[in-house]
Amino acid sequence: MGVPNSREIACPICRDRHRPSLKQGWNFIPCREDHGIVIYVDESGNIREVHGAVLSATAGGLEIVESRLHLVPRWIDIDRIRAVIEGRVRPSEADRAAISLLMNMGILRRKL
Amino acid sequence: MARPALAKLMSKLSGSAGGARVPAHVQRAASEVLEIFEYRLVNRLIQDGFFKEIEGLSPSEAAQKFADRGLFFTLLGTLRTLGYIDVRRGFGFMDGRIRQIHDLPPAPMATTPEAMELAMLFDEVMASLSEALREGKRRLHVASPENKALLTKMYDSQVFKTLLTLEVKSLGISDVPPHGIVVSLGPGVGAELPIVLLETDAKVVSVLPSEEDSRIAELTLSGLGLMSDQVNLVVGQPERLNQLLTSLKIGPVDAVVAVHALHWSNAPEAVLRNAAKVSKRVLISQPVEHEATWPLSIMSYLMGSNPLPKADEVEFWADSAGLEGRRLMRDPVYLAQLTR
Repeated sequence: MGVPNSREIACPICRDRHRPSLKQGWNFIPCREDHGIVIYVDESGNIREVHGAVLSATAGGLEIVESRLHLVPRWIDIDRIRAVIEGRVRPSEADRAAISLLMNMGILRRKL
Repeated sequence: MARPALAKLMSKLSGSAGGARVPAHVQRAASEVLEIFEYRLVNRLIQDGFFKEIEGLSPSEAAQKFADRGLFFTLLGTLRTLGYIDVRRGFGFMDGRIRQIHDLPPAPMATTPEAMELAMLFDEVMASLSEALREGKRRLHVASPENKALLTKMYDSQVFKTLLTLEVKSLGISDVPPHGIVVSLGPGVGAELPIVLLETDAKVVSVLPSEEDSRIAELTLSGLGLMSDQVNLVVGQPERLNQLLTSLKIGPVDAVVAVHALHWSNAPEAVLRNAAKVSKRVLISQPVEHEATWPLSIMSYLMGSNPLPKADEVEFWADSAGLEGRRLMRDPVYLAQLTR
């Protein structure tokens, strides 16, 4: 279920405001160059979780579940995704889709 | 034992798809995977004590030992087809007895990355076989992220993708004019959509079983650069397709294409009946029970589908839905261009 685009989300890291198009499940929204926002929408369309995701190899952000690496669809360049979540490459629209997809498949997760 | 059935299917489909070319490495992978799957299935069943447990019993006595009897009979049928067990003829009131007639063959080697990729996936899905058989629990719950990842990966593998592409090409949806509407039914997660979208310029309405499936389909199409106004993802039951499209004011529909969809439905006849209600043209690509398709049948079943139907059953469902027309292939994939 989609969430109306009029819902404004404040980035937990920089407080910048976004009106992203959100869908059920995990959504990755790029914010500034060094971070993005991870949002979870439940089956009723309610936003359940909003987290800042620092795009850096060292700080707490996103991580690939290495044991599930073999489930990555062939069209996703996992090295590029690694570069994005480590802050080495600015995410493109396709990267945003790939990151959201991998989160929904349990192949990418938030570092806790 | 060499198992060329899948490679043969690929060649056959290539012909019905107008001579579409199959890359040599994919063709080689297709000729390797069945043998690898067979070895791994039999090895797993030996480790699990399956053969010892059923030896000397009649099929119905042996079935009593397992919680999922349907799965037991599917396995028994597969092992008979592959030549590992035999059921001796019964006498009088006495049923035939099961006996193992072949041991584990030497381990086959995968020489292509495509075959290795599928073998790994097969192992992962088959890890839930024993629990499903003995306790009747299918661990890979249909709504879980793990299930979606496995299903997506299975259809994303080179071998499956090539087969699916050839099947969709054979169905001839490219005939639908650009202003027309094609309704696409698939195995979930929109596995068939990238192929359907490349085959037609018409608007494609994809009916997906859940929000999770729709989300995966949308993200996949976005990532591939195929998400556009041409495609409309709709969550609903294909068994109520007519009602669903009416409520969404979608139509008239030029063709319904059902790709690997029927074994995911508990009422496949209703799916085809509804397809025939919304469109005069119904195109079917449905793998059926066959020595080339047993791994898909067991893997899909463990991920929540029904076992693959027999070709006769698909034909019966199509007849019951009032559909008739041109059958391109009967097995291992039932391919048909039907009209109401």
